[in-house]
Amino acid sequence: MLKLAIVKITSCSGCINEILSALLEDDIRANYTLVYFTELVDSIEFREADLAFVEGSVTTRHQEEALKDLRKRVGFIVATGTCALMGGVQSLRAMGDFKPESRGLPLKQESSEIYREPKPLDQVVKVDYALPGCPINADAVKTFLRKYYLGGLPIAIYETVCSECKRRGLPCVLVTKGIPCLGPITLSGCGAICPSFGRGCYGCYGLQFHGLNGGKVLSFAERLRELGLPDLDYRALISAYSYAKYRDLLGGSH
Amino acid sequence: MKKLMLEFKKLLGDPVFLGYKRGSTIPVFDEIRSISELPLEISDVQKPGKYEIVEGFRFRHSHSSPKWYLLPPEQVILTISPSYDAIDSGVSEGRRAVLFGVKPCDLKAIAVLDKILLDKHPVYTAKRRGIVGVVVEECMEPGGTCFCASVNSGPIVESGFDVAYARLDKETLLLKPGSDIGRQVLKSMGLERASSEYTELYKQMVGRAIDSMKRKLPDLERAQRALRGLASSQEFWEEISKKCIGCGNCNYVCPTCFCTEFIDRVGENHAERVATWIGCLTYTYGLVAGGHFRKQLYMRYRHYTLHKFLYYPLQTGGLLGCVGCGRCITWCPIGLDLIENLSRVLKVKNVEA
Ligand code: SF4
Ligand code: SF4
Ligand code: SF4
Ligand code: SF4
Repeated sequence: MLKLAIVKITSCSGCINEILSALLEDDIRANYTLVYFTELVDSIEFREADLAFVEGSVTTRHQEEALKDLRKRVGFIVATGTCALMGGVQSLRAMGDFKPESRGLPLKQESSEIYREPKPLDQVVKVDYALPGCPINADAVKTFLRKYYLGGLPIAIYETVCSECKRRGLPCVLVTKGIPCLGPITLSGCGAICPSFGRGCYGCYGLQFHGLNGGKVLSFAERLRELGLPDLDYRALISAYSYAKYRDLLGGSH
Repeated sequence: MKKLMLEFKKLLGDPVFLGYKRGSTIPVFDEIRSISELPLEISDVQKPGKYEIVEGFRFRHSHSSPKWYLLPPEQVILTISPSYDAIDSGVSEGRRAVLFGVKPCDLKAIAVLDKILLDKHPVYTAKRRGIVGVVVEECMEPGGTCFCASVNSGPIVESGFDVAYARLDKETLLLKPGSDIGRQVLKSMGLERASSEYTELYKQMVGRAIDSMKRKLPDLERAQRALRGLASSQEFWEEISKKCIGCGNCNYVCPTCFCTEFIDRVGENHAERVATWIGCLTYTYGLVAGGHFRKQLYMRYRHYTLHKFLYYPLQTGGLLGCVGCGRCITWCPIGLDLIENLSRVLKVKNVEA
């Protein structure tokens, strides 16, 4: 039996639901024991785990310290979801007027300890594997858990939503209908759900950043503009889930 | 057209028909169950990054192609039990099938795939060996991104088919046999020999079709020489691929792209090894144990171009990897134009010379 911990930081628990769904499989349950999963198990602390899924991005100093401590106690860390990989939707705050103290909500921490720009996990600790998605896909979790137990890992595929869209034989919404679609610059994994319903991809699996640079993203943005998206909309669209990568490629100015 | 189908059916013992099938949106390559499923009353309008179906009678092709049948996007090539016993090798007999209404460029693409995969790839080989008849629709009006004439793949066919037909207008078909089966089919259809009026018209229309292709490669051999000369110019390839975002659409729609990646799917009671289309423009391509041999996107774009025009001929005994169908131009979300780029190759070389 491998010891499994499910850890959540700033995120919506959508990925956790997908993990739950994977844990309903008999063969997976037989091989893993849950040592930490606040949604399911009554344990506030755990000492060690072989494997941990960490959902969410790092938004406070406290989280950052907790993660560094976690790293010492866990053998293998899976960054789970686009938040953990690229910041997630909560990163949109970095582009606006960020004032945590003005919302009228009681703060648990000093506002100076709350990060304006949420950090992806790998900015804080060493990450062993990444599962993109908002949320991730339960099938990817199942595959991962089965292969990990057998002593292997799924091979990492770095391709775009277009790849899945084309393999499904879907008619491209961008080329046939002029609908702005982020598929060409978005990581695969969802199975091209949005185009299969005739709408454009929103980029929830995060920016497929390999081989891209600022100029290429801008030339794609130019294409979206041709299709009728105003300046601000295309920037918000491209950076919505992947702010951290977007900033790496284009800078944070807005 | 109906008669043609019926005769093939009679002669070849009830094969399935495979062709571009009209669906609710865009025709895709699939099984044709009745004549009403053929895209006879529509045309496609194709431009870089743009595709539309309108009323008409000149359907050329879509993102789909015979590759979808012969080398499908996902091929399960092995299924094993939890104790690693083989349950299924994934290869079954190919169905007896007639390709119906495929285009000259499609036929050429199959000839290219044959050279690379036939008797080597079990799934392709089984399906390919099941093809017992070929009916080609010649193109009297090429599509908006077609350039087959420049690469010697169309718009008409000379060999490798049983029957070819050309639609001189919406109602008039001119048929020609290309094999004994074809001659037999046409004979039992009781057709008259076409008068010279029609054959002259046909010749004129073919000439016009060739002239009307906007994209032209003036001289293929010169282009190949120029490509060879530019192969190691990083600056040139970076410039030419500046807008490419590596989405891979060009690979998947190309009727001759054949690369796959093996993906193992582990289930509760069995595991499958699935050969899955992978594009050389995507980052995974070139990623191997120990590193990556085409890390930059311009290197992958260069590989795509050089493979089509320089390396395929080495693999196929002379056939180019590009059949001029223009799909990669139409279905590129940015609308990058391969032929425009190749013309630039020639210009750069001219300037230097
Ligand atoms: S619909 Fe979107 S994801 Fe699909 S091929 Fe077109 S651009 Fe890519
Ligand atoms: S379809 Fe266009 S943008 Fe996408 S990889 Fe091919 S050339 Fe590049
Ligand atoms: S490279 Fe482009 S034009 Fe040539 S065969 Fe492939 S898809 Fe068609
Ligand atoms: S490339 Fe040539 S053969 Fe193919 S559809 Fe266009 S005109 Fe016809």
